[in-house]
Amino acid sequence: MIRRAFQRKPIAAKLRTLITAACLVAVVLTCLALAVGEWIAGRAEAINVLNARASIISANVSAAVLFNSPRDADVVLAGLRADPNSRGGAIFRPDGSLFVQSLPPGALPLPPPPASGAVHEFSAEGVVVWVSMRAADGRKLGTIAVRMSLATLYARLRLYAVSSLGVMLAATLFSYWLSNRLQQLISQPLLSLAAAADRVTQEKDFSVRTARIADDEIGRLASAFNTMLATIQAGQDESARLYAQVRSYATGLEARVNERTQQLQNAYRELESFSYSVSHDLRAPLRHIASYAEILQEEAGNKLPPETAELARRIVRAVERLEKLINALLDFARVTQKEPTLETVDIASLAREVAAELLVENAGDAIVDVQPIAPCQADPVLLRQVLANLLGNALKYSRGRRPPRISVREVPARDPGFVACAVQDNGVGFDPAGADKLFNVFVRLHHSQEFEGTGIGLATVKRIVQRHGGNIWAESARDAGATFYFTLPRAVPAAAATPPERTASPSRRGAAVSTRH
Amino acid sequence: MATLSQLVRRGAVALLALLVATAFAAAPPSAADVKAVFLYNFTGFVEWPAETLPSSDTPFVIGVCADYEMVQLVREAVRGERVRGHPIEVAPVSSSTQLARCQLVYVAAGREWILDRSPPRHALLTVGETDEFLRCGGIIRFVPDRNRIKLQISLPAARSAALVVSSQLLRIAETLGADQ
Repeated sequence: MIRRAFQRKPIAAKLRTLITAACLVAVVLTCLALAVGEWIAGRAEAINVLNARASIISANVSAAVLFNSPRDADVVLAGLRADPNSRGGAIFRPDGSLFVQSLPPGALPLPPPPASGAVHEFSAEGVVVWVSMRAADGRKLGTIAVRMSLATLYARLRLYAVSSLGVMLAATLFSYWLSNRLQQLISQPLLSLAAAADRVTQEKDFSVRTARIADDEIGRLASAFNTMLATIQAGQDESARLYAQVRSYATGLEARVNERTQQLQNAYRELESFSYSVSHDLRAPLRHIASYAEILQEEAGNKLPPETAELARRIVRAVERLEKLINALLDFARVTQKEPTLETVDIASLAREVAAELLVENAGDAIVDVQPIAPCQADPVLLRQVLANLLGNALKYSRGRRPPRISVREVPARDPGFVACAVQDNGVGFDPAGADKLFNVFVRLHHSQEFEGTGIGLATVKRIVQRHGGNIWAESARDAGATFYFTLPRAVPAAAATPPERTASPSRRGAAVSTRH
Repeated sequence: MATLSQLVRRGAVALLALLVATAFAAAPPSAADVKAVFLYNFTGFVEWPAETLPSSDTPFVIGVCADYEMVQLVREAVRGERVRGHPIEVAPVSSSTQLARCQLVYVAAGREWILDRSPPRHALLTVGETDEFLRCGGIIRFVPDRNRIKLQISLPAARSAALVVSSQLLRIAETLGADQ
């Protein structure tokens, strides 16, 4: 508790307290040691004095004792009164009875020698010393008891105590004054250091420096602090410079990228509207050519020589092909010009409709098997275009098979937010090496004599799927059929209670509608 | 707190002590007893010339010119004691010739004649009882003083006997002839 309170104090107060306390403790201990020493020495001295006196008395009263002359002994003992501290003396016979006693006024009788054999005793009256008295031949003549008051010793000790208190007071005041002076030597640099540190942390001002006052540890600390601040400041300046540089680079780069992007977008938009208007504008003259060729056939069909009639027919066919091409190009361009309107679409039923239409047009014997597929989020018009393209291709490239077999089914998607579909045929397939180029405009892996086509369909399909955020890819081997996969965002179920169709039981799937012609 | 049995025991002890004390007190030391002890005590305060007792086994002879009872009392008083290492011999003295081998002699009252016909009494401490004794050249006289015995010492006599008497002894005694 005290320790914690002390730790909270400022360093100046700590130092002051420590120095003052140390000084005070030293003074107290010194005074105490002196007093105790004085007390012990005073008592020992009193005993020595009394022993000496008793010995002198002993030498002077042996005749008086031997010849039973108490009066003479009393004269000798009376000499003790010369010392004001003396509290009397007495001579006891060997049997312990009193021989003679000399007492100052008011003093208690002296105690006979104790049976314990003690040679001195301290009491309220003072200290008593017993010395046994022997004749020249060694006979025991008795015991001399002399007593002395310790009042002088106690008075001296009291004086000691008073003067010690004075010394303590003086020492405390002096040490307080001295510690006040000394602590400044230590705490002043520390305080300025602390103030500098505070300024650094609060104002983030790294240009602060502390004055190096002393050459001791604190001085070293101050210079280390200054060095650290200088380093930090240099580092900060450097990083600020670098940051500004990077920032200016980044800003410039961003502006350039934006500019370029704008330019590119402008160019692309111009190009698209150009191609759209070109395609659109091309249709009108083309229509005229087709019309005139047809009129020519109808009105002069029979009059024309057979070669010329054939040429007219070729013109009509070429115009038709060109028209298809232009329509495909317009479709392709339209995909990017129009935002898809998303709604929940069942791919399977849409696929069945498209397949039915295609089969009617082609009147083939193909078997199209459509499995249930989870609903997805897509523009139905664009999705229909995708399915028409993929199923049309499948029918086209499996035309030679007996029977052509096409299946549409759901496959596991890597991303749970998407539904993955596969459109598989048993047609001629394609070279896997060309799978990457398959979706580019006007790229065809088969000769147009073998399989007719515009070379735009798959590019359009890819564009549509990508506009939905999905992906499209194909797998095949030559003469081993082809599989086209595409992914579309999964429809968020309107209500959790509605069971998704794809969780249908296998028996139900077995009974799925198969369109067969 | 002392129990009853302890009190009884203490009472018994006190009673016994009282009885013993009474028994001794019943026989207080007689004047003769005290004188016999004093005779021995003098040896501690008087110096004899060195040649008096040449070897350590030479006995210190105390002559007693008194009745036999006194001789016995003196013998009793010095039993087991020595004078400066010399054994003590107590001898009854009945003629002045016997004084030659004594270092100390006690002369009872009425027997001062033994000093009259003696040769110069070199190194002989004489202790007596009467004025007559002092007149015959005696050194220390016992003087009865109420229930005590005081001492008188004749300094000239001591000097002529070549004896040195301790100042302590002189202090407690009445000195005679100091002016001579």
